[in-house]
Amino acid sequence: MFLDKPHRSSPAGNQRPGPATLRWGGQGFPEGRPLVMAIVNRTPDSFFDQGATFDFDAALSAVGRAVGAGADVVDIGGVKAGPGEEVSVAEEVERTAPLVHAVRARFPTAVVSVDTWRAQVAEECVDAGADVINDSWGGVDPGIAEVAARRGVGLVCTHAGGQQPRTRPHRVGHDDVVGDVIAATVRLAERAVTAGVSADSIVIDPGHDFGKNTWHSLELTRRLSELVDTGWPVLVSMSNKDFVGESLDRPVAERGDGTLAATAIAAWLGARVFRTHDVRATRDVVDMAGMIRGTQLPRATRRGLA
Amino acid sequence: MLIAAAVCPGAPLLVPELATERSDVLAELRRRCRRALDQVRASRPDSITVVGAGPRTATFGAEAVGSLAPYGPADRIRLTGERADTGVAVLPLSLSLGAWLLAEVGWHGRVGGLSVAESSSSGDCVSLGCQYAREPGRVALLVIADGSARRSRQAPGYWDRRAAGFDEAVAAALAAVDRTALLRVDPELARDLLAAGRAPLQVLAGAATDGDWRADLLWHEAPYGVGYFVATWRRPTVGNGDPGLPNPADR
Repeated sequence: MFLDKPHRSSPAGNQRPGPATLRWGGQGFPEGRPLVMAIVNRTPDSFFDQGATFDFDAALSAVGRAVGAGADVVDIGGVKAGPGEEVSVAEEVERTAPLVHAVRARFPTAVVSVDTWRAQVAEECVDAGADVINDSWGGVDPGIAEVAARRGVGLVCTHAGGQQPRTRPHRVGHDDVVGDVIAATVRLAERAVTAGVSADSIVIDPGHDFGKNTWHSLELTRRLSELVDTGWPVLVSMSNKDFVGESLDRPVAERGDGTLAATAIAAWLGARVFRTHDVRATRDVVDMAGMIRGTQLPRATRRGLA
Repeated sequence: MLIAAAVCPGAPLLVPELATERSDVLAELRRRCRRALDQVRASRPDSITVVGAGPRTATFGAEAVGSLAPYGPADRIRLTGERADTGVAVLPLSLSLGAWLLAEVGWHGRVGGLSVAESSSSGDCVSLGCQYAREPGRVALLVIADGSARRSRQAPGYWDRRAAGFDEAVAAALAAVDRTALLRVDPELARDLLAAGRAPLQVLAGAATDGDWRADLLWHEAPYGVGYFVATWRRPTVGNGDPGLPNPADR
């Protein structure tokens, strides 16, 4: 068979499988159609680019480049993940909502996601046209799921290990990190369904580095298929993170190759959405992995066929 | 009667299997911890009790099992330092690390464990410490205690302007065997500053009753944004009233 069904073991126990087709922004993305999610931060201080896209026009051009390079989703954030200057709700809205609006207008086929833990910011961005709420701090504000439900947009349910937003893990222990991640993300996903979020618009994210040390993030990457087996589509956000940096002993600017290696493995193990700073490379890596798995067709076969 | 105590950090990165980074700083920190424990052993204690912060106040026997596995690739060990192939891990991180440290220096004498709840009042801590002061025989403590985890912008708890002064005061108290200063440390401020050492250090202050003490502050730095202390308190006169002999561990 040239195009295989992806290998999936049956969902464990009574965990209810999510739908095979992910619906975001009025589009359907079946299994075997990996999504690349471009990170665009309107922050002056994010760890990777230190504010390269803080300026509105710079951010909008970055979106253009990302879409041109093959991004399916643009994830817009207004507050850096790490500790730093306090950003008020009003300031966060001011940073994100106008950009959401502009991206919506200029790139109508791109799915627009907003990276926030605050329901109020999420709501304003949905008003501006966002299709997905990336609740990357793991349900700190339960109002987020209600916004997603009420407005019919997608939701990312993340494991942040109970960390408060913008805090770093300090001697966090997990007896079974994968078990903890599955329990927390599936609970968030099911809670969202109960709140009225459409099940086929929910993905789960193990939250690499969030409330985890490097050993934890490596283990959950190694065992990602167990998350995939829950049936919920899995999003991975690994781009240039500390677990890559510490694994290879590389500073932030030199983590691209390690990120791509982790990306290939996550793709091989069945992750569906890949949040990244490097859209072009990620696009090729996840597509190549899909072609090796047999879940995607190669783009241009010719060799030996003439 | 308490005759000696060592203070060491409660950081999992003391364990080389968990922190694989080749780091001169870590190597030095581990050396200082080893030296502190050698100094305590040179006081010829009958037993060493590991005191550290935990979710609740509880004492543990020598066979109690701890585990560093929740933090990375590490074995389960008993307070005695032996590998534990059976039994449920009950020791908090601080006591598991203490057991690991004792095993590192090859301590095979009697051991015990005391986990102190972070919420313990200073008075609770003193009462707990008094038990060791009154206990017959030559008692030593290994106190697992840290300063603030908010010492820099890269620190686990980010930077807090009060953190450095807080740690300086604790270090000065350790260097001067200033029990009053240790007992003055405000539990609420310690909690704000993510200082895991407040309660165990106040147990030490309660255990080190009057008499002469000789202090040695072997290390006081915050290389990863967390204030680490390595220190010892020893009674200078040991045994049956014989004057303390020059200590081979000091050289």
